[in-house]
Amino acid sequence: MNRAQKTDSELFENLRLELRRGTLIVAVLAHLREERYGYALRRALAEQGLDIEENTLYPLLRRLESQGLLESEWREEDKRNKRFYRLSAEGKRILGLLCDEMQRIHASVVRIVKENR
Amino acid sequence: MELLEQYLRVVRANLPKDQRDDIVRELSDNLRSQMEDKEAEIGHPLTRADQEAILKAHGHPMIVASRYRGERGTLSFGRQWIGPELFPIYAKVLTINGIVTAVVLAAAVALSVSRHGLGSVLSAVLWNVVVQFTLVTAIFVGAQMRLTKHPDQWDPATGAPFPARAEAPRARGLDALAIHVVGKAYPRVPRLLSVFELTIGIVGFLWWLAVRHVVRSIFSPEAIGFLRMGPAWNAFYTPFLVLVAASLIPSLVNLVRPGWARFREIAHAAFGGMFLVLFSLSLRAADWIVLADPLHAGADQRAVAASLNAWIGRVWVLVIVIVALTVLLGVRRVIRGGVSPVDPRKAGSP
Repeated sequence: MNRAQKTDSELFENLRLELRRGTLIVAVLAHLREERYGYALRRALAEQGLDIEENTLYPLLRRLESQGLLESEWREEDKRNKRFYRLSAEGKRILGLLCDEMQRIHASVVRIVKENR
Repeated sequence: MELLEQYLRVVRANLPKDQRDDIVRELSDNLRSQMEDKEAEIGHPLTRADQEAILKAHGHPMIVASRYRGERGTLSFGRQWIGPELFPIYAKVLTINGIVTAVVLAAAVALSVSRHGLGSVLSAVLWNVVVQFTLVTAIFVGAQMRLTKHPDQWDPATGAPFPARAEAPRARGLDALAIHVVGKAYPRVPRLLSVFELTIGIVGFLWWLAVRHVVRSIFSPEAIGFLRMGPAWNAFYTPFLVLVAASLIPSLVNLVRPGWARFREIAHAAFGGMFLVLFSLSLRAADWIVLADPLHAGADQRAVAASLNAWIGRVWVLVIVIVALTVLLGVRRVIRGGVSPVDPRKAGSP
């Protein structure tokens, strides 16, 4: 890979990550309507085509919890203590708003891209 | 799962104190779940290599910990020179270095400003600060470049840089001679450790060089004029300086030859022994500080000189005890064959 290709690929990767950042939060919140622990959530997201690094997901869960969007509880499962996360009441309300906003943005972007092709 | 425990210990050390236990508990459970899934997938217990692969995919302990810290400081101009994973440690080292330098220099300035003038003293202080800042920054930039360039070349048990080689290289030339002379299989000395030791050694050497000037300023006529350094100081200053400089050699050698781990143990024990001999010889001397004019000195001035020499003697005894213990431990390690050998070729065994 030459220097120009490498720069292009790095640029695309940075932009892709920026694009994903906000949508990942919506996906995580939506998945946690049902209670899950960190690793199970990561697997569930991957099964639906949304791979997310552990280093991104686990700190994100803690941040969302500190913002009051998630609740967590340590519980034993399969002879081991696991931390289960679920959406809080505030999280449900915010998720609804985010989904509406995401659909609005998506519709606008699709329209803009089509019109300017 | 010993490797996992070691990995988590390194992560833990870099986490915010109030959340350490909770985060490590959760990480531990998630990684164990992942390892169990992998075992179920491959149908047998994980080998060390399998565990290493999972931990390496999870990320370097410093990077993992950095994601949990609120701060995202970096050193960037044009490009990012020190990333958020190393920046907090860099900032801590600079702060500690700054405080120590400030205390030492404040004393030197207070005692020598009337003699040399504020301008030249401030210029010397500024130069010292710039050199220290540059040195510390260069080390961290080097560590960051390595971390970025080789994101998977590190030891999951310690987080230390570790050249990923499928097979240990065949020793040739001086390496082969070293194996023959000082031992057989031996672990590698991380280059970062050698750089760290060299830095400490160079700072120690420069400090010892500077001590002479600081001491002269302290005992100048404008400061404490009734004392001066005695014959013991003049006799032992240079041997200590030479020994401090020579003690840099093992780290320099290990920087070029990281495989000479046993050489490092032997050299450290040998230099420890030489320091011990020098300290013991210098303990006999009772005249580190003498009166500048013994004929006209008052009783209180004689008492100050005697008290200072007595204190130096007590500190020397303490130093000798510490050095002797270090040498004993070093010799014990050499006799027992150094740290337990790790052969990278056997890393795949369960």
